[in-house]
Order: sequence, then structure tokens, then C-alpha cells
Amino acid sequence: MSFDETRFRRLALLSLIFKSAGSVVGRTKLQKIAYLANLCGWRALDFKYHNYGPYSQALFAEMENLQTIGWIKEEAFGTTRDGDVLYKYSFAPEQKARRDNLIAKFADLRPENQKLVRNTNELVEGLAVKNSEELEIMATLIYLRQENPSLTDDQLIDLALPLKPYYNRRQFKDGMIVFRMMKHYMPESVQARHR
Amino acid sequence: MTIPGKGKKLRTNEVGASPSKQLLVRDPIHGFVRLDRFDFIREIVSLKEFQRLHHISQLGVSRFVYPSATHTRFSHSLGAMHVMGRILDNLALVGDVNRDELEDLTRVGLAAALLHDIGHGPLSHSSEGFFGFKHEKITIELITRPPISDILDRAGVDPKRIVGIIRRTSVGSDLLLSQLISSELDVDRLDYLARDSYFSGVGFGNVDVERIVNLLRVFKGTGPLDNHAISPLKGMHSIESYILGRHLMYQAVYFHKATRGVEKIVGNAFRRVKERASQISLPDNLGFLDGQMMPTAEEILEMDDHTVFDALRRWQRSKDTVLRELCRRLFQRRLLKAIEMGGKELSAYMTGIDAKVRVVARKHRINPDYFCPIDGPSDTPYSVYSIKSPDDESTVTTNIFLYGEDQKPVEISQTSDVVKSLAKTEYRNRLYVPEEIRADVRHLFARK
Repeated sequence: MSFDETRFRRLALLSLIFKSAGSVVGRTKLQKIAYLANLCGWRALDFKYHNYGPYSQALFAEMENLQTIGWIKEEAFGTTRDGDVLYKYSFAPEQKARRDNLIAKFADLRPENQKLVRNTNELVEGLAVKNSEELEIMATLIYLRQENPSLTDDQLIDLALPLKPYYNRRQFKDGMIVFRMMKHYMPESVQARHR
Repeated sequence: MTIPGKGKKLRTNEVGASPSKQLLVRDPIHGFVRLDRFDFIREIVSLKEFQRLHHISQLGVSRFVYPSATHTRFSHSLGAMHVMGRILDNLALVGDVNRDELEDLTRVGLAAALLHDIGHGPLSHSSEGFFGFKHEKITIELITRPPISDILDRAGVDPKRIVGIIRRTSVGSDLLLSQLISSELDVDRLDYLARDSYFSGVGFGNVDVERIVNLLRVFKGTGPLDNHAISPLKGMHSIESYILGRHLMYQAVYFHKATRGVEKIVGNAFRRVKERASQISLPDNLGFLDGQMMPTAEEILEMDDHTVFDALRRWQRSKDTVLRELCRRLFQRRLLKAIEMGGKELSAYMTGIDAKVRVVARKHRINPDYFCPIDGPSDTPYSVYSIKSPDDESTVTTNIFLYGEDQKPVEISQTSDVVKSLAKTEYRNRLYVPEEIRADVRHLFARK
């Protein structure tokens, strides 16, 4: 396909996320999984800090686009803690062959892509079992560490707590597991910015 | 023709205003912009880092479609600072900002607005795609190192505080500044929508900045909206007009089919250069293209729009036929032509028409990898106001809130039929092809 490479990578990453995670419940969970997966070396999405941690407008726009063309389905699935409708996102069953084809095409594009796909698949499978709160904490910690590489773990939590007063120190300490999870998946060029 | 800002009176009661050393510049959008509210403003504006913004066009390659849209990041940065000042002055006037913290907030807010775009590369957002860097990162690097950090330090403004405001990782009263720098109703958009509309010459997008500025109030309460600016219900029509203007500007200017087509040509020219860097003559200041590295802050500072167009002009004589043809198409205005694709067409393209397009292109000795790109909404940095029913990832603090009839904050699309109606907009994708194969490619879609 004659996509710009970034767009092609973006579509391949989203396809892989849904293949590895199955369906994803809630936009927070999708945004945070995509943020952490993108750090494996995809360079497919830009993230800025938002209410619940890193957030990508391009991901939002691409998800709208994929729903318009019928690749992705959005279904109401329960309610949030604030009483709003929660949405579940999944690949339309009739589009799964296309999804797999896109991932295979990306994997074949460059030698290093095979490893990238394998790593991302493993990571997303691990992230998919976390809930949106855990992912929010994990993604926020990684984001803040990337922006402040010299901070100790405690300083990092001190920085995160005022941003998320509805979580406590214990939850952030538990969230530190993300650094161990990500260690094997982030390329050195990205990892060098983490401690 | 009405000229926005004409006839507006000067205000001399702003915090920091120094009538003895007046320094004001004329601006077609806001009338006058004061550079004399604090000494650091004048110092920063005089730096070569800031002066470079004179040569960075605000709208990138939009001038190929709107010939007068040649305004720059320089005037926009001054305009954004002006709007920030007006909002803070007004909040002080109505007592929503504590007098004790007003001077500090004004100092920091003006600095953040003035500097928010200093890391932009040539042709603004366009070069981020071509060169693979992010202007926010360059902005933050420039703010936190001399000479800018020295000037800010001397002025009593902590550069790291500005970084927190730009990155939206601030807390307390700086949340207000974060919202005013980066949200759905911020000083950036309030200035650029009005400015882009004026210079492109379209008849919409003319934002009622003064009305919006005068109505904003700071919400004090619990929850995520604490310390955020909200408009009373009577401000709804001005904000509806702003959102509608943004929507129309997106369709007519930011996502204009010819503009996006030009951007694809320039982007593909630089992609070709990166792929064949060892065989293509590179100017010194584009040397970073010979490798996988993204440009450093120093390299960005050495570039502006002229660097890019000078290189593209030279490459019209390149030995590389693809690069030469891309550049010649640009300068001879033989642009790529758009074929609009709705959901049905995009799906058809992805399920087989793509391969047929490639066959048609090759039959005409056209390389489809460079001359038949597709474009979609996630490829552009601009967006329309996002109207989605809330989920757990609601856009609470960046969305636009009004005080509802019960005086509780309500997101504008929940109360405005005008805004609600915009939610039905379909995202569009486009396939670009050279004119000579457009009819054949259209035929492929018609046969499907």
C-alpha cells in the first residue's frame, strides 16, 4: 500500500495490538497499551500528557477512521466509575484476515521488523490483563521517567502523586513493575533514557 | 473589508506595563501587541533563536493554495502572548486571579505563550514529518538552556515551570496556564484560527477573541476542572462560532486537498533523499539526512523555509530521476491530484485496488511508492473539535466547558445543538495520483 511509512506503521501497530489483546475495553486502556507498545521501537504515534497520562490524538483520529471503514467495532460495554458508558473495541471478524495480512506485510518489510512484532505481541499480551488504572499508572511512570531520566524511583513517585491525587504511593510502587516489563522490549536508543 | 483589530485602543493598565519605555508592534488581528510588559519579552524577541521564526511560515505549504497565507510563527507567537495577557488581565479584573499571584502568573504565562513554538522547524509542522523530529522537544530544549534560560532566570521565571506548563504536568494555579497554552480553547488556537483565517482570505474562522477572553472565568471546585477557565452560558454563541470556524478552517485550509498534495510531494522528496542520501548532493545544513538521526536543536536552529526550498530547487537538476521529478512537479505546479475516498472506497483500495493502481502507475512509468500516496486525518497535526460521548478516557480538562443553567460545568456539545451537529462529520481519506493517470484510477473504483 502506498501509505507513508508512519501511517503504515501506525496501522500495523494497531492491528497487532488488537491481534495480541483481542478486544480492548475503554479508551484509557487502549491509549496506554498503545503508548507502551509504541516504545518498543515503532515510532508510529506521538503522545502528549493528558488527563490520565500519555495520550495520542493521532491514535484517536486513526481509531475513528478505522471505525468509519468498518475495520474496528465500537460497542457499549458497561459503565465507568463516573457512570459514563464504557466502550469495547475489537477488530471486525470479517476484517481479521486483512489485519493479519497487514501485520505480515509489515514484518516482511525489514529484517528488524520480525523481532519488533514478536516483542510487541509478548508485551501487549502482558499488558492486556492489567486494568485501566494500573495501565494509567504504569504509562505515567514511564512517561515521567523519560522526561526526567535523572530522578530516583522515590522522586519519580513524588512527581507523579500530585498529578494523580486519586492514587496512593503504594499503587505507584506497584506500578514500578512496568520498568521490568519494558526492559526487554525497548530498544537501547529508547531505553538509554530510562534508568 | 473589515480589518480585525483596527481602531482598537491601547491599554496601559496591564500588569508589567511600562509607559515610559513603550514598545508596541502593530498587528492586523489584535491591533497592537505590547512587548514592554516585562524586559524579558524584549530580550527574548531580539534573540536570533526567536528572530528565526520570521522565516518559518505558520501554515507550511498552504501558500500554494492561499497565496497570501505567508504569515509566520513570529507573528503568531506574539499574538498568542497577547491573548494570554488579555485573558489574565481580565481574570484579574473580575477577581478570579488573586492580586498577589497575578504578576507571577502573568510573567510565566506570557513567557510560556511567547516561547511555545520556538522549536518549530521549516514550514512549521510539515518538517516534523519530513525530518522525524518533534517541535515540542526542541522547544523544551531551547527553553531550558542559555540564552533563553538565562533571560528567564534573570526575570524570576523558572524555565522548568514553563516546561511543566507546556507538557501539561503542572499542578495548582499553573493548571490554568497549562489549559491556556494547550487545550481545545487555548491562546494558541484563539490566535492562529483568527490569523490563518485573515491571511488565507477565507470568510470564516474569524474568532470573536475579545468576547471569549472577557467571559472566561476560573472554576474553583473539586475534581479535574479545578483551576480551569470556563465560560458562562452567555458565551456559548461566541464559542460555537469558534468551534464552527475551526471546523470550516480544517475542511477548507488545514486539510485542503491541494495543500496536502503539495505536502506529500515535499515529504516524498525528503524521503527519497534519506533513502538515497549517499548518492544525492546534500547542502551542509541538511547533512543529518545522511543517516537515521533526527536533527538536533542546533541543526533546527540553522534551518528555515528558505533552506528547504533552496534544496528542493537545486534537486530539480538531481541525477536521481524520482527526486528530480518530484521537485520539478513542485516548482512547475504539476501537483498530485486527489481522489476522495469514503469508507467504502478506502476499504476497496485496501482490498485490491491498491495493487491495480500500482499496475496502472507502472504502465505510465510512474513510481507508485512516491507518486501515489494516500493521506488521512491522522496524518495531519490539525483536528476538529472532538465530540465523543465520554468514556473512561474523557477529554475533560482539554474540552470546552460552560456553566450550565444550574451553574454546573457542562461540556459544550451537551448543550449546543450547533456543536452536536458537527459530530456527524465523516473522516476522509484521499488517494493522490499524477493527473495523467487519474481517470484510469477513478475507473478502477467505478468498476469495483
